Amino acid sequence: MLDYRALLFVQNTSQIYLICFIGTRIKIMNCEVFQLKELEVEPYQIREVLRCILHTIVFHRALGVVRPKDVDLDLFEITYVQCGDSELEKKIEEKIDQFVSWVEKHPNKKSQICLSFYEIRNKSTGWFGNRAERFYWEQWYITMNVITSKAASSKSHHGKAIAVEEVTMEDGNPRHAALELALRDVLFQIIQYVNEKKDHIPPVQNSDAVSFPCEIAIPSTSDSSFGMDMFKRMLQTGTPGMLS
Amino acid sequence: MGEPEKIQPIIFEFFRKVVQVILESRIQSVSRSASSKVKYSQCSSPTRDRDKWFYLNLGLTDNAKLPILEPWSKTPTTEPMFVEILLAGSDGASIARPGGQSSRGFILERWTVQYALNASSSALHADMERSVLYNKAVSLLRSLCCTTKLLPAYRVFKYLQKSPPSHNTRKLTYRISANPMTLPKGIMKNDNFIPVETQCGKLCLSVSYFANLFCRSGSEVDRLETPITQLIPDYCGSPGSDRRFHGTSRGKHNVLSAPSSPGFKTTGFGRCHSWSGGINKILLPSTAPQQSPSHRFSMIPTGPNPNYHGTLINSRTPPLPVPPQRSHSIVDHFASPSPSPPMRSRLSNESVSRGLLRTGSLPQNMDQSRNTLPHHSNWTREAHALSRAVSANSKFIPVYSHSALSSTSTSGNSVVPRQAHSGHKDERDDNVSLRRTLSRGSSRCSYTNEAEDEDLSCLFALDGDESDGYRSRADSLDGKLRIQEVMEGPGQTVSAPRRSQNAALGELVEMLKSATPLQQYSRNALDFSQASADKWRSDSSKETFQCQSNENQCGVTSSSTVYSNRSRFSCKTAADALNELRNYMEIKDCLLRQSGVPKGRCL
Repeated sequence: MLDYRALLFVQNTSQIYLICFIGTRIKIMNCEVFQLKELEVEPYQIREVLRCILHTIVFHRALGVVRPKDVDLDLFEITYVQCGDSELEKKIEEKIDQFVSWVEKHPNKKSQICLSFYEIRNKSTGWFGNRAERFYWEQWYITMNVITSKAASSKSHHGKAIAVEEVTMEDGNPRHAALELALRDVLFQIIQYVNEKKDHIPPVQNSDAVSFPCEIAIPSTSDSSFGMDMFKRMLQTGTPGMLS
Repeated sequence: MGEPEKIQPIIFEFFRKVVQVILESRIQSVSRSASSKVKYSQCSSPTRDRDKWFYLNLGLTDNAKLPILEPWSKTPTTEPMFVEILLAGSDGASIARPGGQSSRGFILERWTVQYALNASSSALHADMERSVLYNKAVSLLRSLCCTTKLLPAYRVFKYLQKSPPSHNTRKLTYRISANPMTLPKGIMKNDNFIPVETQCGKLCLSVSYFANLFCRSGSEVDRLETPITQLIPDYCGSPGSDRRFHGTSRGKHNVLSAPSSPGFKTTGFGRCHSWSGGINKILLPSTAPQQSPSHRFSMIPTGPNPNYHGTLINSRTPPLPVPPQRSHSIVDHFASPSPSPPMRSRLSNESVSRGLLRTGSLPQNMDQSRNTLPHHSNWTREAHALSRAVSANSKFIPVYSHSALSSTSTSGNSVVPRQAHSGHKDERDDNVSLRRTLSRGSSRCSYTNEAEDEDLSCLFALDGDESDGYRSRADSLDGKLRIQEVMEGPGQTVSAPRRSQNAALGELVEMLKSATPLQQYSRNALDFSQASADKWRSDSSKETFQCQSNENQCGVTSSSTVYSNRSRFSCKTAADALNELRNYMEIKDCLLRQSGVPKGRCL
């Protein structure tokens, strides 16, 4: 079996064309890429921030009849909306747990989480039979700069957001307030992007699906930079980390 | 069947869904859940077909009081629909507000929904147009769901929802009509969603919301003090807010800026902002140290300020132009909610409300208060510095005046049943309830009650806890003021009954007016410093130092300050400077001996 390892990467101002012939063909054509504003967070804030952002994005891409679920953040005066699907929520929580684990091993680092929406098309390729192609049509990059402060390091292991809240709020942590402001901006940014770009959304193929197929890519445990590790893996192992 | 008729059902259902989404997050009678942190419809009844429109089931029960949008059910629906969220009295009574623009309440938000038909629309590709319109409307409604949770009015809704009914003198009402109420200019911010455009027309959705609507943080009822009592554009915070700067037990959600904020002094009493007429903008979004980059739903900025892009309204948003005549009157008289421990406070209601409600003129007592309060230039600078620092995290429920109710007047053609209100309460009762609600949370604020509304010069009470802060606040004032606190002596409580506090304030003002020029003060301070050094050698008691300062009527609290004043206004030789330095060193040694620190060791 031929194994193409050619990697072409062409990036335009707003579109990324990534054609990689390794096992399963991946195509990203006319993919809308949204780069969200970078957030500077402390370890104990990661979960809530990520939940808020990921669920807000997924809510906009939820399929079928959605029953909105309003969730109030513990650390911030922000309410976001979930689509209410338990499986999706579980998937997001798993990814957040993985990211938190990665952050614990790589403290004080800037990292990106990529939420990608794709559609799967089965295409007959003659010699190679049917292949499932993933067509990524939207990607959201969430950049987080995780910093550890003395307060965070002394409280984070408790895992109690409320305790940390008391420390930060009572001290009037300006960083916390800035993060809340930035998080609000990110949410408005998501709403803006969703409103601006609608034409690229593919038609719904599966009426029973809760949401467009999506995947959440987090930095791997062995890399120093998110993007480089992905390319290294793709060239060496033939199995890109995104598809695992 | 023409194209408009084919699209009409979609348009009408879109209008209906928009109303549902907005009211579900603004009106308690429509909302799904009242108290749970996670609002999720657990409605066991099957989803009705009508609820499935745009794939958005809000789970509203049959008991939800939804309006009937009959005027927009007709074809073609090109008439815009305005959904206005108002803040009214709990009984639905009208609230007269500044500008006289509405007697039904204060507009917090206005949502505008409109479908604009294209003149050249054709019936070609009608099905495709409907499909495109429907799919894009789905996305638009999802965005609307999220947006309603992020706007300031949602915090108001949550607060009112969680407040006990006995303390709730306000409620959010709505008004849906084709004729909107007049919005105050320069205050409301406007955000537009990207319109859904088809060959047949354009579906537009936008929102105008009150920019300076603060909402106090804190999700627990006991943390939240007063409900909205006055909505003031240039609200600058309460004198009692200084307690939050120090992270009191109730300050889990400190809303005012941290002590670490630049320009903010970590004193127990940051109340100087309340003294000066120029400090009105403290805690306003205008003076935020950092302003978030604008976020817009669309690339089409509209509204009264085309350069404003609808940033989230909180302390971090830019200032709004405020009529100068309001600046003094409003800030002096509103009661700001404070999350600090309860201390009974009363709001100056009639005079305050009159001051807020009259259009274009200040009530007599407002003018009186303006003359009474000092307008020291130093305080103004101090206040601006404080305002910049404090506004970084400031979140307040705007104090909203509801007294001085005027008779309800029809405002526009309200095509839907308005929230019923049982008429006007007795104004006095309103004020009593207002005071009660205010007293739940305001800590250091004591306000003149109805009987004392003529004396508006001092609305702030000091309790014993503020004695330290009071002394430290004096550091930020000029020397004349320092005399006041120093004369009171250490350990002497500065708290005073309400009456004497007003008198103290008047004395303070008089003292400032009769203050000696700075040059004279500095020379006296120099003489005093030399004399005091001698005195310290013989008697190292602090009280003696203070008595000495009293005799000379100089406000000397630190030799460094005296030194700086002296150096600023008089020429001195090096010998003089050396002598003075020696004097100060002697004073320092005396103080160190008192405190038991060995000479030469720095404290």
